[in-house]
Amino acid sequence: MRQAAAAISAFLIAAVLGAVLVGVARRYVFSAPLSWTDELAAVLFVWSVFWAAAFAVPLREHVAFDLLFESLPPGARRVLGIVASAVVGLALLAALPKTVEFVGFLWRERTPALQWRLDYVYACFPLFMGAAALRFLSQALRLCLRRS
Amino acid sequence: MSAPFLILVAIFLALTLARVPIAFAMLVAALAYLFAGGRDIGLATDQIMNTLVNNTLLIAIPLFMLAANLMNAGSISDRLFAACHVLVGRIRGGLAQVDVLVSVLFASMSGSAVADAAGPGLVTIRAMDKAGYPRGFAAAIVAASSVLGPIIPPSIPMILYALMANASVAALFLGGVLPGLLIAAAMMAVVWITAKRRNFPIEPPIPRAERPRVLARALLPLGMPLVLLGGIYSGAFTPTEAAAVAALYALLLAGLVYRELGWPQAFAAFAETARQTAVILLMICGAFAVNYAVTAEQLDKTLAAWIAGLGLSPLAFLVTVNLVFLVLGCFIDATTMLLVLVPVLLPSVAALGIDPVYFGVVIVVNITIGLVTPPYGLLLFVLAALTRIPLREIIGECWGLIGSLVAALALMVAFPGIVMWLPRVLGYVR
Repeated sequence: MRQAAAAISAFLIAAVLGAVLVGVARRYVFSAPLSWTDELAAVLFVWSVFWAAAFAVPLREHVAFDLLFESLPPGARRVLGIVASAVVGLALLAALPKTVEFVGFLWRERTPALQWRLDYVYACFPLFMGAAALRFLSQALRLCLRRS
Repeated sequence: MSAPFLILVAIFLALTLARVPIAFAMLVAALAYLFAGGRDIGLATDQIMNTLVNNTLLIAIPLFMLAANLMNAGSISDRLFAACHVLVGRIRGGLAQVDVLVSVLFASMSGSAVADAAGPGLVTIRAMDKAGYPRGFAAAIVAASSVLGPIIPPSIPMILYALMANASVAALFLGGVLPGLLIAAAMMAVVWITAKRRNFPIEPPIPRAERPRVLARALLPLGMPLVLLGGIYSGAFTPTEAAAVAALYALLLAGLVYRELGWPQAFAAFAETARQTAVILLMICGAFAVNYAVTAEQLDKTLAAWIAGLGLSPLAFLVTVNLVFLVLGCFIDATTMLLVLVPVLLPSVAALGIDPVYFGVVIVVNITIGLVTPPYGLLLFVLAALTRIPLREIIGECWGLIGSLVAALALMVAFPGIVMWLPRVLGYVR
C-alpha cells in the first residue's frame, strides 16, 4: 500500500519535471510560448504534494517540536499523544464537509489553458484532509490500545 | 487582537507543545480561527490552493531537491570530495577544510542544508572518522558548513522569502554569494586555529600524476552551477525552469554519463523528493492559512505602527530583530520562523526603508544559523540520526563554529555592502 503510494508520488514528481522541461523545449525549440505546460506542472505539483502528504509521508516524518514532549514521563506522553492526535483528527474531520462543499462549488470554473474543471484540480486537498484525519484518529486509537 | 485570533494562538501553542507536527498545528489553528470568527471554513482551502496553483516559483522547490537527491544518489558527492582533497587536503586539519570547500561547491548546486549534510557531509564524516578526527568535531564541522546550502545560491528559503516579500529571486540569490564566501572563510579560519591547537592530522599527499585526473572527474558536476545560475542571470530560464534543467543535468550525468544510477536508485531519489516536498509544502500551506488570519487582523500593520512609534533607527531595528531571531532559532524550527514571523515584520521593514533584498538575505542567514544552534538544531539531529554520533559530542564541538557564523552575520548587519554589492553591481537593485 505504502509502496504503491510512494510509486505514484515519485511518478508525479517525474511528471512535474517533464512538464517544466517540455515548456522550456517548446519555448526554445518551437518558439511557442504556450502556458499549458505551466498549468500542467502546477496541477501535477499540487497533486504530488497532497498525495504524498496523505499517503506517503508517515506522521513521524513531519517537522515537530519535541523538546517539551520528550522531557515528560512515558505515562504523560501517552495521554498527551492520545488527546492531541484525537483533537487534530476530529478538527480535520469536522472541517471536511465545509471543505468538500467549497471545492464542489468550483465545478463551474475551469483552469485557463487546459480547461480542466477546477473542482477536480482542487479535489486533492479534501482528499488529503480526510486521509490526515483518519491517520491522526488511528494514531490516537493505537496509543489508546497499546499497553504502557 | 480579537478573540478568534487568541484562540488561534492558544491552539497553535498547545498542539505544537504536544508534539503535533507544526504544519498540522498551524492548519488546525487557522481552521479554528475561521470557525470562531464565524467565517467560511472554505477560506482556508481557497487561500492554500490558490497560492499553490498560482505560484510557479514554488515548483522550483521540489526540482532543486530532486537535483540534490540525484547527485547524492550517484557519485557526484564523492567526486567533489576528491577534487577538494587535492586542493586543500595538505593543510593541517585538511579534511575539515575539504568539507568547507565541498559545501561551497555543493551549495552552488543545491538549495537546502539537509541535502548537503546528508550527501557530501556523510562522505566527509566517514573519511574524517577513518583519519582519526574526534567524531563530534567531524559532525560539528559538517553541520556548520551545511548552512552554506541555503545561503549560496540556489536557495529554497530565499525562494520562500521572495514569494512572501514579493522580492526578486535573482537579486536575493546574488545577495547570498558574498555572505556565503565570507562564512566559508570564517569557518576555515576557525578550523585552521582548532587544527593547530589540537594537532589534527595532515592528509597523505595525492601523487602528483593523479591530481589532474581527480580534478577532471569533478569537472562535469561543476557544470551544474554554470547551467543553473548562468541560465537565471542570462534571462534564459526562470528559477523554476533552471531548477528543472539542473535536475535533468543531474539525471543525465548520474544515469547516462557515469552510469551509476540504476532504476531502484532513481526511483528512491524521486520518491524521497516527493516526501521532502510534501513535508515542506505542508508547512507552507499551514503558514499561508495562519498568515491569512494575521493579515485579516492587520497584526503586521499594527506592529509596523508600533515600531514606527518607537522611533528606532533601521540599524537598531535590524540588531534587535537579529538578536531575537538568534535566540528563537535555538528553540523554534527555521521554516516556521521564516514563514510565520518574517511576514509579520515585512511592513515594518518597508516603513523603515530597509531594502527587502538585504533584509531577506540577512534573515535567511540568521535562521539557517538556527539549524545548528542547540538545543533545537535540525542539522544536529539529522547528523546524529544518520551517523549515530551522540548529540552531546556534536554540540560540545560546535560552539566555535557557531561563533564564526554569528560573527559573519554581525559583519553583514554592520556592512550592508557585503550583501548588496553584487546585486547592485549587476543592476538587480538600486
